[in-house]
Amino acid sequence: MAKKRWGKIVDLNKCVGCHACSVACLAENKVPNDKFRTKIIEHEEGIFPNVYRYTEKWSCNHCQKAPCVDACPTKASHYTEWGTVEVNPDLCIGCGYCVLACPYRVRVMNEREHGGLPEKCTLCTHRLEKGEKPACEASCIAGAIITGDLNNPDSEINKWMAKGAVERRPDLKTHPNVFIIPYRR
Amino acid sequence: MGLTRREFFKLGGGSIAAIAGAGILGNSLFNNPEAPAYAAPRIEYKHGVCEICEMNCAFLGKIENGRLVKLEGKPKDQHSRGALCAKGNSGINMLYDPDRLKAPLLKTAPGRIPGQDPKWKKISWDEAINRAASEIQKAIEKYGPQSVIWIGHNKGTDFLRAIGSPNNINHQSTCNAVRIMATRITLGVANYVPDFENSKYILCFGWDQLGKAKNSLARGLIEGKIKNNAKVVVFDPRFSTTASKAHEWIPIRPGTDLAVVLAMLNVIISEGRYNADFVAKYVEGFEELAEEVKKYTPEWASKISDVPAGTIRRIAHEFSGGCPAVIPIHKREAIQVRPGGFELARACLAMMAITGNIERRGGALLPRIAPLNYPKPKEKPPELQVTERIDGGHLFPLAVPKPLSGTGLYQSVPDMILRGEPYPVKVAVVYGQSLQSMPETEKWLKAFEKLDYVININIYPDDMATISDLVLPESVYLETPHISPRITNARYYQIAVAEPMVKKLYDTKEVDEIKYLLAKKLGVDKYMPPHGEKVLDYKLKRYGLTYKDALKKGGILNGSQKFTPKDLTSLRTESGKIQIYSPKLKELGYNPLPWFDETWLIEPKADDEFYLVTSRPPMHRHSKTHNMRWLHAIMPEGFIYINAAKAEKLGIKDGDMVELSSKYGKETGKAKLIQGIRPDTICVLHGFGNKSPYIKLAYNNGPNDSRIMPAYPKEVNMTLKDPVGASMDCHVIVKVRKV
Ligand code: SF4
Ligand code: SF4
Ligand code: SF4
Ligand code: SF4
Repeated sequence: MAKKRWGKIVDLNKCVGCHACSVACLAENKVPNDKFRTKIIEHEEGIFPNVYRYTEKWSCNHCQKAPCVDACPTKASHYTEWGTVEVNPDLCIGCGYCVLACPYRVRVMNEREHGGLPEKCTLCTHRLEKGEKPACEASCIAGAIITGDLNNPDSEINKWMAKGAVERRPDLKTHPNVFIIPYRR
Repeated sequence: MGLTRREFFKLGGGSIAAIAGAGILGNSLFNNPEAPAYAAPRIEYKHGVCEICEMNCAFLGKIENGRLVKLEGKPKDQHSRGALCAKGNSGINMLYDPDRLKAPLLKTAPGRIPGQDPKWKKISWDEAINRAASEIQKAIEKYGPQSVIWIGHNKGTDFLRAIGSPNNINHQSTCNAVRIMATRITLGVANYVPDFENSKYILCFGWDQLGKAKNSLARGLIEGKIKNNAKVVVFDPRFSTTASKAHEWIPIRPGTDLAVVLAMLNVIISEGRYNADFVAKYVEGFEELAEEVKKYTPEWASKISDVPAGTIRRIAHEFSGGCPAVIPIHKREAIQVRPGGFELARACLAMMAITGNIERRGGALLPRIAPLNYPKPKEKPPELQVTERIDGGHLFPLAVPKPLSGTGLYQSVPDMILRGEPYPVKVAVVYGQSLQSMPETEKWLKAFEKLDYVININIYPDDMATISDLVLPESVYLETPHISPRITNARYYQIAVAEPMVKKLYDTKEVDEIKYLLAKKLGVDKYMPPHGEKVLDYKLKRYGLTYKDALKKGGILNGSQKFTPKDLTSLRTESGKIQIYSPKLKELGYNPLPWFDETWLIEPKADDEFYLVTSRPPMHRHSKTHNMRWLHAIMPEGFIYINAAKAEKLGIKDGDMVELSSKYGKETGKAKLIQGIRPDTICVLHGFGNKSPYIKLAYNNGPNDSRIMPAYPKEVNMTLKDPVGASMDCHVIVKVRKV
């Protein structure tokens, strides 16, 4: 069997900015101190009455060339076998370099029982590996999120890919596994 | 998104110190789902139903070692479709909220000032019920049972009936009364289901259930647009979330939607674009409608609404092109908040009717609501001696067909209490209703001031609790069982059944039990229907199942999901058909057809005067979610949307505090400048403005829109020839000033 490459797409034409994903993620991952791993960014463009507004689910892009992994002095931030990026809390010293290194600013430091730990999306691989959807996708009221194996040409995520999914900031050359379908006016 | 160096040191620096202390152990195993746990937690799942909003989404609650940790929508439930909105997901915050009411509280300080220290004394349930019953008894003896009123959610009808009071006051006239009555007159049911998924044309007048995160309604519209290629058109003075997803946004002048719909009817009829076949078979009153709308030309509507006549014509053409088309109506949006709302809802229904879009896939479907058995009291209570209601509901037979039933005129109550009309009110039981949902709040406060005793049944020590003499703590929905037919978006018969997720955390009771205990103390319990566990089986009796059976079946009972159109000649309307012309309305002295009166319109006259519209953010529901920590973290306070260019003219910058003033009151709040709103309109987010320090997160959380809204007494509805007693909360001009 070919190696899996978990990925995610958010369709900004569907996202209604409801925050269900960000809250479901907190509950699923028992994130303390209400440090959201998923944020919702609001964009408003244009001048009345020609206005555009859309919301964007914003979380770790699981870069294949991840600056956070490069910056981590202890290899706590690492690539998993599925191509995602995770933090090994046993190795993490809470230095926060990864927080600064991430060009997407998706990491936040959280105070955990034994010190600081960067908080970020894991793509809920613990659920994906059980055949379940990640918490955010499962709770998205608009059906705006899809996750799946990018290496499987028949997967639903690859069907979405064909609908015009793009990388965020391709100029950064981070080669994310998380994509967006941009908002169409 | 940026992280400053200082913040970095605050976080990273602090952690380094902590790490040094923790030594070699480092950061091990904190709640990391990947990490092996020392002892696998005991996990169980239970069936639940969300009671935060009327969608009542069904879910499974995940309980770890006895603690509820997560709620997950059930894919088989047509309302949740596997998802819960942010509020639903945060339900556990309410359950475990440290600020919840935990025991009955007695106010020992004088006065009724929201947020002022009530000097609460904790008392036992026995004492609380004794006190409440004796205050009610005193009022009944001296002033008659009608001097006792119940405010809130139709939950007091059986209790009022038992003691003999007609005063079932509920907030529906500020909420969904107009939709209920317009749909009842026209289709003989209280609501309809917009079949977005199969639609090709979705036309919205102020409808924004995407912005309010109404789960399957939001998903339905998105699916209709993206999967089914429906065109979406939104009329709204503000660029709502729904508008932002639409193909076309038309920033209509507030309060003029009705003129536009009547003009569309004019176009569709005068150009012969209606579905003659459908009309002949199923519609009653088409000829009369055709005659009435002749005068409502697009040119006329254009002058009133700022919508070009050409646009009105084009949209009327598109809507009547033969494709499945729908106009959703939920509740407040454009219909409830201004004069003519009832006519607007009826005109929308008429437009769907004459284009053949009722009970058609992709149009408006009759709801499929599974009936339940409701138990009756052991003994029939005596007939009410007084049927005149304090809110004047008896004068509006459409709104209040029988003394205790119907929607009523919530907004008329404070004036009547203050006037002592038609008789004095002495005791109020307030259930699930906050000061944030009482338009013209100051007037309500004066009215409460006049009462001898206020009893509040509540979950939180909010504003309402602080002004009440006695606070009775209610259990949270996650601690109680429920049987919930799907209503709001019911395309097929379906019932969701819920069990308590955990044992009650505190000394709280369900409202049914509280009512029963009160009735018992007053010696009228024989007139109360049974309550509690035993009723659960009874409710499902007609399905040959017990409550436990239903849980075993997965907590979801389904009827057939196949769409079989209902007969449109045997509706529960006056003629059995779709009723556009209503003889009953005529008989009651109202216009039998949807109509327009230009005296209903108001207009800002000066640069600092604005129309008022309101909205709710997706992560809060009215005022009941503001102390839920995750929701609070996302949106801690409310604000006021103002058009950016207009604000600049008035010298208002983003984030400035502004004062809103109207004939009815004043309020201050933060301005949020946006492009997506008409320059003559402000939008205030609803539900904020809590002054009670006892719900710590929600304390001082922004402006309360109700403070600047009118609470018109019933005479206003009469003058405006409104048959349903609507509240018209936004029928007001607001002055805005930087402070
Ligand atoms: S988005 Fe940021 S945190 Fe996530 S993998 Fe890329 S660089 Fe790392
Ligand atoms: S995939 Fe999981 S961890 Fe990542 S944002 Fe979604 S819910 Fe959170
Ligand atoms: S749950 Fe879906 S629609 Fe809501 S904010 Fe997240 S991605 Fe957007
Ligand atoms: S839409 Fe949200 S608040 Fe309403 S019932 Fe569903 S989950 Fe609960």
